[in-house]
Amino acid sequence: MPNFPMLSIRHLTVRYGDRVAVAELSLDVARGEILGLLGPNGSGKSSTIAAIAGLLRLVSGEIRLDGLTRAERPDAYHRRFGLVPQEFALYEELSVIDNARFFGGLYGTGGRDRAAEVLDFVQLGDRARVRVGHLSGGMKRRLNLACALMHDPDVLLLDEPTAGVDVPSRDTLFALLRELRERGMAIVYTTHHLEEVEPLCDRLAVMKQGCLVASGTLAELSGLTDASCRVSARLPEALSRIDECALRSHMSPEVALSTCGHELTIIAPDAAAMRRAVRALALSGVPFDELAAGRPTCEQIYLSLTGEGASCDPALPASDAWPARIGGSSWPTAAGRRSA
Amino acid sequence: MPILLASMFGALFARPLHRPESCRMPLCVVVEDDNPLTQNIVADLLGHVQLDAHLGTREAALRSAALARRCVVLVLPAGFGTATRSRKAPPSVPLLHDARSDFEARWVEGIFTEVVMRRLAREWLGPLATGLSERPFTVERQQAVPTANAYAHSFCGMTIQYLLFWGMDSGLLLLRERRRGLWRRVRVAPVPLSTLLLGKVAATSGIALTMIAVTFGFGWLVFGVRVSGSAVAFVALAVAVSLLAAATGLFVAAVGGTEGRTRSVAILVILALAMLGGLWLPAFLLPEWVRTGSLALPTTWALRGLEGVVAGGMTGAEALPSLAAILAFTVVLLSLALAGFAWREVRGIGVEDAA
Repeated sequence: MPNFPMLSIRHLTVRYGDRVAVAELSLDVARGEILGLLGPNGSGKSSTIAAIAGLLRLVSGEIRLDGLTRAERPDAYHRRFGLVPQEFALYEELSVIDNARFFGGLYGTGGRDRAAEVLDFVQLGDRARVRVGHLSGGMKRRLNLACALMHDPDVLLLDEPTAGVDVPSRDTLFALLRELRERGMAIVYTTHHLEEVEPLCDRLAVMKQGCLVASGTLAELSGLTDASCRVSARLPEALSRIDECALRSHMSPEVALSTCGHELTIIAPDAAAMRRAVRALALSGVPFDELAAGRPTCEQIYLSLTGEGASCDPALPASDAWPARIGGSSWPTAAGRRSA
Repeated sequence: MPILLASMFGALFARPLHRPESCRMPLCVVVEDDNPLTQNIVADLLGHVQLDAHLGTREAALRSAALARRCVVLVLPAGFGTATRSRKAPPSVPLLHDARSDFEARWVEGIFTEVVMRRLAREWLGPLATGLSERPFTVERQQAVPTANAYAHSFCGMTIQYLLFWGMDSGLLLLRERRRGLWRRVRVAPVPLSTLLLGKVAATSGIALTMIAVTFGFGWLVFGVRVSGSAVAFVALAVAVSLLAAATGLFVAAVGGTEGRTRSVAILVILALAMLGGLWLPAFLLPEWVRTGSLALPTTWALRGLEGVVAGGMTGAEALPSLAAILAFTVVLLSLALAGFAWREVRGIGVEDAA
């Protein structure tokens, strides 16, 4: 990771009345880096974005963009970042280029040439004269991005920018974001779509109930250097609740266990713990056909960190049900970058 | 829409100046007395130029009044002629009317009094009354302001009403921008809130001024509605009313919740302001307490000023109180709106989205 943080958040706390939306959050995002901000609804992602954008008052803490705080130099601070809201924040009655020029104009960069340049970048150059109301969802998303780029910000804040977008449009958007990263832009990207995070983000920050649960690269968060920390066992028949409880009693508390239909999955914090867990499985008498090792997916890591996964419901696909917790303990990350 | 409604209201209330038959009062006369004086009075009533009088039975007349057919019923009871002539015990003459026809009943009472007094004068004074049987003067009706016409009130009233509706719409647009994240996007730009709100006021006022120009332009071209008073005062009042519309919009945006609920409440308030402020019907048709109470409404002053300048030949100095009142209402609404926006900013912009 480059040394100089373009966006630096220290001990940020935000409240809505009595409710704490963000508590003691500290984060850094460097130039040329995409940070994925993850968390369930109400975890404080959008509030964090709003606080960075100056839309919410900070109860305490500090946010610096390129070394500047909003209190010190508000005008320069606001020119440093671009916001891509979750909604299509566009004037549907205006044309594509008029939208770009209007939002650029708020920063004094609403020239026709600049608008054409940015629209070309987001591949909407040939649609410049089309009314926004006539664009597809994917095109509106790209225009949403273009409007935030008109003043050439250093930091880009994206609040769930792919909501309601099909896969090709999403891929196009990702390609644009990667190009912006190559140009040195620092990007904060919040999303619920966990499959987006892995191919796009350099680092992840997971929030829960306003707190930062963990941050780091995917490898750091998974705590894996080998593939033995996640094992799936194929069962000849679905495990009964009694068998499942009996199996859990053989496992140590730091091991996460889930069953879904004919699949039993074990996640352990390290290889030694996994060896003990597999031995316990063999000793438990639960029959299984085969064992397969692999690293946990981003989604599994996320669910494990946020505690969103409940005990398995056989009606759900495996990815929706992973993982259960044992004894209420959370699964520690190898990177150890937890705060909360 | 304001042009359409103003034209319609104007057509409904327009009365050609030299055609009194166009505004004759319907009257049903019930005659239960066969005295010659009574018969002569009835004949005078039936032939009166300001009445559309006809004879009827008491039952039918009462039924007509009960059915609220806007008909005034005059009953001349048995013994009316004799009693009137003797002057000993003045007879009682029932004048029946619908609850809404108080104004018409007073009109009929005046005409009836005139007819009876003329007849009595002839009887009592005999040949001496020859000159008194007719009016010893003639009335020449003229418009106080020759260039004013019946469309002036409706064009002023409907213009003000639709300016308020436009103000409401501009406020609802701001609510929609907030819901769609546009306001958040605008607020992250390095532009002060005051500048943004000033821009909103300027845009809303500009469109409101255009509406005034188009509406009165149509009224002038098609119905001959002209500014009979000070043109400068008209322009100043137009600007003031446009600012009032913009302030109304900001106020709606500052205090409004959801777009749908705000629209319902705002429409109700504007229609009440329009009605009580006399935008639909001339104020003299409203009860006294409404006329007094409506002085606390901006619509009353806006109509007073605009109608006064357009139809009443009001000078610049005479228009000043209306102008000052409109501007005062504008300042109050703008202050409340600014306080509302400031309060929302303290809570957090787009909290409903971010939370």
